[in-house]
Amino acid sequence: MATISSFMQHNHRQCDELFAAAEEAVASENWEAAATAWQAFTDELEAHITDKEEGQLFPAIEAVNGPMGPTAMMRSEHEQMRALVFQMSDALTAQDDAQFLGLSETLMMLMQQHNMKEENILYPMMDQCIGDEASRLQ
Amino acid sequence: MRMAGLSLDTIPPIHIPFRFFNTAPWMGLFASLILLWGGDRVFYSQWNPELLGITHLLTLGFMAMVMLGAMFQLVPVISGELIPGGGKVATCVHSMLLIGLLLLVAGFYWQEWSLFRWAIPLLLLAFLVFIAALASLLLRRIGGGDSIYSIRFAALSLVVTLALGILRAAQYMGLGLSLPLMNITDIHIAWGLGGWVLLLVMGASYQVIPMFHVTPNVPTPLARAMPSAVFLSLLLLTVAQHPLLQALAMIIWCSAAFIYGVFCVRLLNRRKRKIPDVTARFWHLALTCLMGTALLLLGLYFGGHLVPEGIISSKAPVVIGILMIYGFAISVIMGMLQKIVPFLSFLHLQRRCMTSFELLKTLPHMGEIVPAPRSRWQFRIHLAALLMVLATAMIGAMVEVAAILMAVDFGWLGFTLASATHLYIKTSARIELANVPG
Repeated sequence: MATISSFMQHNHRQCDELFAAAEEAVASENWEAAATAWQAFTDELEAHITDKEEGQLFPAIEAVNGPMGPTAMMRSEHEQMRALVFQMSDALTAQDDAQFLGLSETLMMLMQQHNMKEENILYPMMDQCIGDEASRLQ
Repeated sequence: MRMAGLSLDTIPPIHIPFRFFNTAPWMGLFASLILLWGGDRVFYSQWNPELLGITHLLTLGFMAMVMLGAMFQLVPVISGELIPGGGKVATCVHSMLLIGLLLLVAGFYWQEWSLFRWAIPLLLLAFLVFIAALASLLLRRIGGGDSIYSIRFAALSLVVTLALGILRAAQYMGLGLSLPLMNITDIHIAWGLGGWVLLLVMGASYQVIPMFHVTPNVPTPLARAMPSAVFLSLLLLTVAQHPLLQALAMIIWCSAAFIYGVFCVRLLNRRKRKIPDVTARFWHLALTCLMGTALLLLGLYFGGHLVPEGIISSKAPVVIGILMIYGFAISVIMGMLQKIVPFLSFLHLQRRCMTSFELLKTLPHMGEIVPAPRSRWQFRIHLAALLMVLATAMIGAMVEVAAILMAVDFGWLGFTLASATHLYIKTSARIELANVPG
């Protein structure tokens, strides 16, 4: 059976791929494809951070360990990401590729350093404390 | 698992990495000026005092300066704990590295070996703090897998490089040391460039290439075999005296470096993130230079006798040095700085105005902090400078053109980083003003 770590890491990579597809469509100014790809990415991102993490895993580990710094920090980084996603959706609507790509570079870096912390610290912690939650992830 | 005291909110103040990053390019520019002053004679031999000064300005002044700054940033982020002492320790390390380096270069340039008496303790102290910080991370049970595996070998190689450097400096100062090692300088270079630099880049690339370019990971068996082979070959090269074992060590190092280069180029070619990216171009250039080094070393070792003696003995080591330092390491670092500096600026600015979405929208994004056209020019200038320096070292003429191109290369980087820092300070002041109530 997949662990929380392996499942969530794999989901990070799926988000990366959807993100790269949206960026590429914007870079080639294919706005129709860009809108579809961007929607696919934001749906997957929301399912990951809002449903799986903030909706299921974070409350589960907090129920075991009490409120803790790392999850609060991750929530605040999710907010940072949402702010950028919001700005990028605006740029997409305005068909401003320079603005979109400048922001996308920023979001990419933000997501990657966030993923690194989750994958190195938080998920292994979850595997140990709330390993059973893995079966409820989908 | 320990959780108390673990915080993921450990970003060191931005002035810590930025002071290192903003110093490094000017050390490179300084090296270019010594090349300009020295003229054609600089490349005559790898023992030329001016070339030794230039080499250390590039390796310690540029490469180590950026690596130390990056480490002050990265250790807390990865390990979840700030480096004790914070800003004060960083200030001390930065000053000791800078002053120690300038004394060392002056010592080489004027062949005033007594200056080493001051330079060596300062450099040693700067690196000791750095190694302590790195060790605190490496000795912990942390994730990071293959990257950390390679970086552990890199750290060991750094210790060997420093120890050999100190031994060599002691010889310069006239302290009679008779050692069984055949040539301390050659082994110092091998551990420094072939060990520390290559292994650190390997470790970093396992993480950053898949992350930022969306590529598959390097398979773990290969990711671990390559640094192990590099480290073992260097050990063999250092302790084994038999020519057959020396040849074996050479084959192992060159094969590992070449296979690593081929594999990473293939990874980059398969990247899912296909938008034009100057950092990926810097990676391609760096890996090409590494593969060139491996082939050249093998060719020289086994076919060197086919070429007239004078050319091989004086020019080949210089060309290999240029390929590894300016072509491999400095290309990787320049490429990474194009991303790290704007990202850190944005990260710090964004955190300060999370309460105001209106303010957030006015923040400069990465593409405004370091504009893409400026990064593209950096690549072109760097490529031109590298090719010219290589050509100059081989034909022994037109060194002035190479030196000027090199100065423009580092000057351009210095300007880019200084503008990014200036924009950060300006925006920061604007946020400050907006956050004051009333």
